[in-house]
Amino acid sequence: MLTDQERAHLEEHIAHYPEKRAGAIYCLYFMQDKYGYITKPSLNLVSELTDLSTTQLDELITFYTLLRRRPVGRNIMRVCDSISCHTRGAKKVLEAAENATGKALGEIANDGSVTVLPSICLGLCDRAPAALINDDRVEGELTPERMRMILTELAEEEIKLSEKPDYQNIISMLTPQDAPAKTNEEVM
Amino acid sequence: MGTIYIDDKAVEFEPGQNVLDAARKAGIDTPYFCYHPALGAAGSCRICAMETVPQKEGEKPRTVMTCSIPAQDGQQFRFKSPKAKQIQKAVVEFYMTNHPNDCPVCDEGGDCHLQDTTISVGHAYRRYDGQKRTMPDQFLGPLVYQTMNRCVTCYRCVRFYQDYALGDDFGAMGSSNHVLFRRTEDGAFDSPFSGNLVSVCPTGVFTDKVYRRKYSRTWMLEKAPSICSGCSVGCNIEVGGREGTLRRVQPNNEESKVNPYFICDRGRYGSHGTESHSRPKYVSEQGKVVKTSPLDALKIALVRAEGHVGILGSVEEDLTTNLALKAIAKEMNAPFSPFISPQQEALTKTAVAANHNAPSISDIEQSDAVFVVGELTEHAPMLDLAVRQVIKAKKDVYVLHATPSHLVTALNKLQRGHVKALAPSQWQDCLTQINTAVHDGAVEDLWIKDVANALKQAEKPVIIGVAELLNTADISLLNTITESLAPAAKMAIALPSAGSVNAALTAQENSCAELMTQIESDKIKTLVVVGSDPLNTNNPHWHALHDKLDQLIVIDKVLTKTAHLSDTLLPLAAWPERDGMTINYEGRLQRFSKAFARKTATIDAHSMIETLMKSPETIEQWLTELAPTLPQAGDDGIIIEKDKLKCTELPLEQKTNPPAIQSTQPQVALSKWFGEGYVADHAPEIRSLKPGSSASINPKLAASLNLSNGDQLMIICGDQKLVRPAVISSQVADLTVALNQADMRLLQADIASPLCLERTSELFIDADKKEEIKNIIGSASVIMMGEA
Ligand code: SF4
Ligand code: SF4
Ligand code: FES
Ligand code: FES
Repeated sequence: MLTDQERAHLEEHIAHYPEKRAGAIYCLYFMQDKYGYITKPSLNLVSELTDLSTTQLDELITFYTLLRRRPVGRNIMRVCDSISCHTRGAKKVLEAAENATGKALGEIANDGSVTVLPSICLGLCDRAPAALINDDRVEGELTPERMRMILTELAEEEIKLSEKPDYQNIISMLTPQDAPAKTNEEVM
Repeated sequence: MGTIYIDDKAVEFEPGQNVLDAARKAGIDTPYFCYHPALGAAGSCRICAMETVPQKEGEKPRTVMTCSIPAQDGQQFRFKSPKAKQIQKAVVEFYMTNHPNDCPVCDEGGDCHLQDTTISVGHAYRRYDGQKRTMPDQFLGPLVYQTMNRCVTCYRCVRFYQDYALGDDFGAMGSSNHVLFRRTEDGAFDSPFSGNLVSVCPTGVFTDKVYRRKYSRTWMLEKAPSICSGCSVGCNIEVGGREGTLRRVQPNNEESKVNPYFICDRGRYGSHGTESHSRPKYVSEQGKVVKTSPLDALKIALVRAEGHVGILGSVEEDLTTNLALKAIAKEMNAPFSPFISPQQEALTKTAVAANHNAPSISDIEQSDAVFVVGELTEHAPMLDLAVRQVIKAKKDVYVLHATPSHLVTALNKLQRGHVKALAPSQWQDCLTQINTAVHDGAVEDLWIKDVANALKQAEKPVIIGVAELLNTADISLLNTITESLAPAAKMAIALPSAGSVNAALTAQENSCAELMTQIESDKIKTLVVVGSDPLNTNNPHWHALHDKLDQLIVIDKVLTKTAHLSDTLLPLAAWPERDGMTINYEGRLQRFSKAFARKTATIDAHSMIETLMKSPETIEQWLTELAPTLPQAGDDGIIIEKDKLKCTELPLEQKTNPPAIQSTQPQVALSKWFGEGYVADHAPEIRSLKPGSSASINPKLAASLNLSNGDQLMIICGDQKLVRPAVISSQVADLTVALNQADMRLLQADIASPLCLERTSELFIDADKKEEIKNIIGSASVIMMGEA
């Protein structure tokens, strides 16, 4: 599941610390970036690298909201529900997101385009209510209307992607490796 | 020693104690949640607050958490100041905002630390009427029940499970107001100490699932201090019964030198074996219940025997019972032995004699190097928990073993390369080499050098052997090694049964051989068996002897194979149902007292003496010879003087030595499971966790036989054959097949008996048979502890 290079990289990182377990968060992020979430085999691997039991790693993962044990959509949208955003209508924005995707927060939209998550303060209080898409795209002054637009945009992007000739390749990249591979029929 | 002042009252403390400790010992009712005497303080619950008294002018009183400050001479605190009281009250109120008001339906009710604390700090009315947090409960197997909403987040459970007992399948998940204490997956715990969650949790999150099914409020229980009959450690327990049945077993005595706070799951749940439906409750003759009192029936049967009687006591019974039987036998001029084979007698006596300088559990915990020979967890679980404290303290622990063991899994996590798996026949050689190395002789093996060095350098080294797995030569080797270490070095041999010492001290020389010869030569036609199961051994001899008997009288508390074959079956009182005395592995004489009486009449040592003997004082005499003052139930017991523990040594030829074996031939090793035992085997809940029969082998042997996990393996020993699914585990020694006791009996094999192995072809197995085998494999794979 890791190339020799990747493994060497993680081992080198862990070697920076006097205690192996200090490298756990870095390794977990690494696996998450690679597979979209932390799979059971990833967990075992990090456990082996850091000498922490899988339970201890799960304790870490459940403590930090940015680490996840479940698959997510192609995009992740974090919508702030902390105090500033709350007073400026974050609740309505989150509701709009749930209605638009037809899924509860934290679940993957049917087309796989997005997972919407509530989040603690994003440091964007001046633009409340705010959201962060894929760790780099900032959306501020959100309204339910604006939220619906963003989600439609993400869904359309999904359709476009799947129309590209090499869609199978892309989708297989999106599919976590330990999930059963999709058959041709399913994809079409 | 020093003095601190709490509300102007002088409170003495020992060095190392914190203020809370000292206050508690002085009887001040300070509230605490996260603090636990064995687990220490987390300083997180904030309820143990007191106010300091200013010592200098200009200083202001400060609020401190008493569990987190070491007591120092002259400190002054206010526990009852308005500020301190207000904090305590506010903290409880805070915890109670989320706590369900379900004391009336909570199993912990009446026995609950949170309930007591809430009342003692005076929080009576709820002001918060908002929504409470709700949390999911988890299914945790047959022993422990969870109700997560009741949690006050004191972290005692994880601190016990992970930090104290070194388990790693249970943890704290989540953060802030939503912390769940659970396993990553549903199902039973891996740890042999999981039941202690019930004891450490100050609220009703974890409750005893076995007790739950025959629940009684704690104040309705008939309780008494007792001793666990699960193994030779002899833990202090509190037994609670009601309406003639056993309801609950829990650790008893915070001051105990054996087990202050914890017991193992075999002790807590295995004791319920006496509640099994099959337990003999009435007198039965030839399998039919008859309406006589058990003692009358016994008398009648003995009269029928016309003096040709032999008595077989038990290594599972207490001292009183074996002494009573011995005295009765003497009066009747009948042979008596508590042992079922001369080998068992030889080994037990050697082990008991070797235990003359045995460490207590706290000695083990404070040791600075431990060498364990055998699978300790599976034979004496609480000794393993003590060794885990040494592992945790980063002191060297080494283990020599042959089959999978929980201790090996725990040790492997923290000290790499400290375990060695060797086939049983090689142990003697290994120990000989360690002995050489300890005496500065040259040895090749690096591991052996490490063990010897660690032991030599330690100030308080401890060696622990498991008697059931050792032969007499091994035991004397361990003895020699211990003698050449530091003066404070100690050695313990975990004995095979709770009553091993009792048996060794009551048996005359060659008692078992004598008893057997007398049956063989037709001198004895009636055998009285008390609490023992001779017809369930791998010794075909007993079956031949059984055929020679006219009458087999069995008195027991569980339905054994021998009880099945008896002519007269009589009910015996189990330990919680009577008074008695027993001696643990250290030579500690302990007394237990009767918690409750069964509704139907049972036999015990005292009633037997009264009805069968003319001059009953013999026992008392013998006991006073053993110890000048006798212990009381619930106290620490009395360590018997060393020379009184020496048993008659046996002639050399009776010492068991391993059969000669070729170096390339596979051999048998005994693999036990921590929850099994004479009584525990009849307790349905814990027994349901017992792994299925299998043959565990290591990957190398599996590869040479072309076997993969779950393949059928034919095991041939002499002219006996057995097919078992193979379980591949790296914790099994090379050229070793780990079998359970029942399978060893079927094969009539001993430890280190040579075997032939064959992979059985599945060619002729038809479809449904295959399904069946798959099921067996499913249950067998459970055994592969901690291996990914
Ligand atoms: S489950 Fe019990 S022991 Fe664990 S944190 Fe909650 S209250 Fe404390
Ligand atoms: S260690 Fe032995 S005596 Fe102690 S509780 Fe467990 S089985 Fe009972
Ligand atoms: S409160 Fe929403 S970004 Fe700070
Ligand atoms: S007992 Fe002192 S803070 Fe919890």
